[in-house]
Amino acid sequence: MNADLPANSADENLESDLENIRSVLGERDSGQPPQLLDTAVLNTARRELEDTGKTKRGRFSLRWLSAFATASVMILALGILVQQEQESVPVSNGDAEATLLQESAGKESAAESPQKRSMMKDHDQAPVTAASRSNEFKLQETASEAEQLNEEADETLPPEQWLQQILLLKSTQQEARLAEELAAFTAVYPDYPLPPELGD
Amino acid sequence: MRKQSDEDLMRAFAGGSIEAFEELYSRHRTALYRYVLRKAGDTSTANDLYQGAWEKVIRGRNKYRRSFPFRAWLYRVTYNHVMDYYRQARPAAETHPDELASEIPGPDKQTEIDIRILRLKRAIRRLPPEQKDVLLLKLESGLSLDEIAAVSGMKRETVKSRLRYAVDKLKKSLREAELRSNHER
Repeated sequence: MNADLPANSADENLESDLENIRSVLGERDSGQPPQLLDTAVLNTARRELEDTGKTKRGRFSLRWLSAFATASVMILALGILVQQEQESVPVSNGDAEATLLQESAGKESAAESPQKRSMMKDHDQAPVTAASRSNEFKLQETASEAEQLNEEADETLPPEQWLQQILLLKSTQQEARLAEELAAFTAVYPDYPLPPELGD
Repeated sequence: MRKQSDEDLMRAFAGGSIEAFEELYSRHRTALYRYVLRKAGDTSTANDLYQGAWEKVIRGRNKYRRSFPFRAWLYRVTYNHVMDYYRQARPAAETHPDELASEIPGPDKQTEIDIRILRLKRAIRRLPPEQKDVLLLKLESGLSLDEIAAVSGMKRETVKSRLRYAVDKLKKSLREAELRSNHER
């Protein structure tokens, strides 16, 4: 637009004209903002800074609370994790094993062992998880102990000893067991004479 | 002791120093007020606009970037505030050529200087808004052409040509007014 104007002289003229205009306008025109306006602006600035200070303090306390809550949750989560880890570690302690064997020996009888074994087999087929691994280990230990007891019971007793046990069953009125044992005895020793108490 | 720059003061104000703002305010109050006063035409509107512009500066202190010259930023905020005002509230208020007639004192009190000033003010008021904006930014704030370009969002060359047109029109108006005056005598 101004390409036809010589740059330097045109600029100088412009500056000189502007200076003339400025000087004329400034001769009578003080152009000062009123005192009240100055006070209002400065008060606004003070108020804004005060408000910001309050907000910052408020934000600080909230930030502190938030950090505290986060730390608490993390500690809690870590505690739960550590506890779960400890629970999922397989029992390798000798005392624990002994206790387990004692319990299983006291509870399990030789006749119940086959059922227990089948339960063990079922359990073996169940999906293996970290948490169930320790239980599986315990059950395997129990099963081997029960198997050992069962093998002892499976050995065929001499007829006299067997009959003594059968008579014991009769005296304790375990009718079902008595019938079972008696049938088994007559099957193993068909020609052995039964005592008169079992004759009926 | 070295004088702190406007930019440093603004940063200190954003950091919470009221003293920094007081210093900044004292440096720019007169020039900014005169710019707004010329732009608005009447004192009441000018006072409102001036206060509103400073409030925007105060509230926008955290948005200010040190890389931008403070004076240019101050006038940009003010320029936008004034433009918003005329765009929304008083679309026809800016161009009111006869408004100054009421400001002219009686003939017995008039001096040559008064008459010259009033003629100049009237001529400025009659300028097209885009030329008037550029002229006032240059006259009252002392901004450079580059800074005016940054404030108004125009190209530097556009600013320069508008300034030139404005000055030419003012000179022409004043010459015509003087000729009329001489003729009437």
